[in-house]
Amino acid sequence: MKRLNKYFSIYKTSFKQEKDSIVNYFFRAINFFIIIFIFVQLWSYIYGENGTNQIINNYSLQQMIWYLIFSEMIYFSARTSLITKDISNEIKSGNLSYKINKPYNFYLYEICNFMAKSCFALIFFIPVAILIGFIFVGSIPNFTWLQILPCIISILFSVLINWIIYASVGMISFWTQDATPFGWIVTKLFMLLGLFFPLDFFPTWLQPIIFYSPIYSIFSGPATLVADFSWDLFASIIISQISWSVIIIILGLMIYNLGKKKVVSNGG
Amino acid sequence: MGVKNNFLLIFKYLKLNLKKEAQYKSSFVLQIIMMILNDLFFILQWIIVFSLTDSIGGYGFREVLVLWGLSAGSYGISHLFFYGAFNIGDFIYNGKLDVFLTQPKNILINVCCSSTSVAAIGDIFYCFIVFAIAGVTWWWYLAAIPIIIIGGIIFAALIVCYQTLAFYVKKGNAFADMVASSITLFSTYPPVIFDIVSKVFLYTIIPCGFMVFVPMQYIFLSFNIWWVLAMVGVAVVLVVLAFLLFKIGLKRYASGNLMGGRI
Repeated sequence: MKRLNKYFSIYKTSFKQEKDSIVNYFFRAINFFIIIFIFVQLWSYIYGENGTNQIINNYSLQQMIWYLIFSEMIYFSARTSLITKDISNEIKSGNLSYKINKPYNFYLYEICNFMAKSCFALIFFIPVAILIGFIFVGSIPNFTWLQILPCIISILFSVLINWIIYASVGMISFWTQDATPFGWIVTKLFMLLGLFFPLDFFPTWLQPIIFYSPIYSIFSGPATLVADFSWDLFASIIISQISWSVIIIILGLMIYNLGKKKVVSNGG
Repeated sequence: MGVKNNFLLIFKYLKLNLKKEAQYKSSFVLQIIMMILNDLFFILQWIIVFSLTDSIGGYGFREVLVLWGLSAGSYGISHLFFYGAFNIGDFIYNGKLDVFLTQPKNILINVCCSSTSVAAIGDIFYCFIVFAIAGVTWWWYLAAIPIIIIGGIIFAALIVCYQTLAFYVKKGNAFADMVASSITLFSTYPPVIFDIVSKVFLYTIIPCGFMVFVPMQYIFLSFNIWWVLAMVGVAVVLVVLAFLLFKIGLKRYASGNLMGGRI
């Protein structure tokens, strides 16, 4: 337990630091609003052409917009490009040599540091997301207060999986000098297969691939849970999220342990 | 003569910046290739959207691709030549403008051209790749060159205007960052989906309408010389405004006594 205390301290410090960025959060909230506004315009147009009461791939316009609001909210709270860039810069600039001899694991340090930022962001963005949703499409169909806690748990896991994946991608810098471009590709893959569209919008052959991938645990799962809640769905998503968290952390630690052997320090 | 010298200076800076970035060879090439791949992913997004509907207010898959090409091209030009413009707020906040103040050339040009984004080369390539995928006629490729240059100038000049807020407000550049991100977002969706209030915004406060929608609508889909002239006019006005606002703002700049140099 004592070994975990240092990571909790890193988390606490980072969380406190994030409070200084509150002004930036307001600007990001405006940005978030703009993105949702564009989505609402686009999907209203698509649904409008077929009649606003249409159901497309099991989703009504209202459910579709709530799905997009929450998947986008997860993306906004995670800001995952930061961790890949940060790790890449540490490796590229050589600063890493100052950190690998500290009494913590650099990979876990980065995850705790950025997870704290995300938790702060979630406290800010969840109410903003709900407010924006109410403004654009009204309440979530069939949503009750009992469903809030499971949805939050699932969102927290999705953010955690985001960070551990992107931290692992950042470690590619040990071999390629810069991992940021790999981060872009992962982001686009996640956006396309999870953020922009629910699972039902993809061809039937692709749906099981997405369902068993981490993308479902990050975007499609939690956002579907908000848009169309059921306890069975919650159980399947949480099992998938816990499994992916464990698998990716183990993989990330393996990559880090392999990569750090390539670091050459020259004192000074 | 002054204008010609400044153009030469801009290209000289680009050459030096690219040389600097090319130090990390694999990273240099990787950034370009990955940016092209990154942009290509959005084509799949539109394939899914157009599987649900044939067209969005007259914009089919082909038209959306061209819109994307113009947007990416303009973004690429602004980030390749004037990447420093996107960091003016940071320079002001951290007292890093001192280094530029002592140099004999125009300060704003110096600041805007002080760095480059290698990935932006990928965006420029992407513009022509999507034109090829869309199967456009040959003159569209030629027309795209001046269009994305003007679009890039509009983008960079507008960002300079908003970045100068940092002279007056602490972290005023956050607003400029938001505008930059909004331009990219709005300019990649067919303009027909936006209502009249949004369109007023897109031709005034965030004038990406002149950057992408005008050339798309009034050069490629139909031709209207007045709209084309308006696009060039907006670019000129924004450049003049950028120089003016920067000059006025600079009077409020307080040196951070930060020792630094440009190598």
